[in-house]
Amino acid sequence: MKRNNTFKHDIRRPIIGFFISLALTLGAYITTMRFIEGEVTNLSSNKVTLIIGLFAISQLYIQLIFFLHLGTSRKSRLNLVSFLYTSIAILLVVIGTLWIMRNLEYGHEGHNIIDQEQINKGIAEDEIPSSAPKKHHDHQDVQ
Amino acid sequence: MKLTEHTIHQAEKTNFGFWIYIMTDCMMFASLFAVFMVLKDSTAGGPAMADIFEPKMVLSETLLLLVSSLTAGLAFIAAKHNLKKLTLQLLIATAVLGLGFLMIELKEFHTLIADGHSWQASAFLSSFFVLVATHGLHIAIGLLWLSILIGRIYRKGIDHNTFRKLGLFTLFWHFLDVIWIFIFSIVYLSGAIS
Repeated sequence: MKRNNTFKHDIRRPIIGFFISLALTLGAYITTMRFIEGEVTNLSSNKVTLIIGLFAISQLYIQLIFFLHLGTSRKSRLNLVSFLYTSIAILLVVIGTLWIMRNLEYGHEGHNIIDQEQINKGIAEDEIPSSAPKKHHDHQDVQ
Repeated sequence: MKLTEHTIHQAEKTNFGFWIYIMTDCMMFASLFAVFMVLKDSTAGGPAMADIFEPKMVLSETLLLLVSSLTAGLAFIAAKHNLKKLTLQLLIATAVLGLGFLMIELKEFHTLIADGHSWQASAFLSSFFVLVATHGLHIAIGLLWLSILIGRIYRKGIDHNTFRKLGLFTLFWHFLDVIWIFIFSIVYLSGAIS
């Protein structure tokens, strides 16, 4: 009987975590569905993405605390430190990748590469976009 | 064999090595998420996320995995209190829910491929399949592990060996649910609105 009581006490934590997670999941889902069905018109899609992101981060926090028992107790100090290190590494990888790839895709770099290729192929001067005259001269000087 | 304080403490210590593995797995998923976010608009004239998004299917996958994460956590606590029968029941529930999740995911993949939207169709679909199927593969391996674990606990009861293994499995299963939260939010929900 005594054992049963402590069991009931122990399962309280994961069950609370479960219901908070459930609420956050449904919150993100309902927000998205209302936006898709056009019921929410005063928010831009960027703002809805941000709201979904906030729901996800809150749920990560809840599950870390209630399910994975990540805390500041001495026993799990190493777990916490390695988790924080991994989080920083993940942020660097993801933000760094997105930042660089966005710049590469539509930035000036791509145009310069195309201009140089046109020059190398010997295309007449007037066909080269006038937006990059400096690059063109630099290239001629080298030749 | 009876569980002592020492056994429980020992099991919690060995969790750390497994925790490090999970952190490296997080890094792998982070790079797959980055690839997906870079390629999600490269649809090559094919469908975008908003076109292949099926809300009810995705929500039921999410709920199945969330409940199975709860039952796995409860099974660990039941084992801590030496309740063998309850532990087994909760683990079988976890396995059934996990299998349900995997079935829905395979059905989703099958529908996509049958419609001609396989991973070869566009860069977006390649990154989508790699990310979601890597998670699905983890779930499949987890289910295999779980079925072996259920057999062991059934035959040998909860000794310090099976208890330690159950602890590791629970950690792994919670981690897979956490990864799924991000697949659910980043791939499905934010993909569907952009």
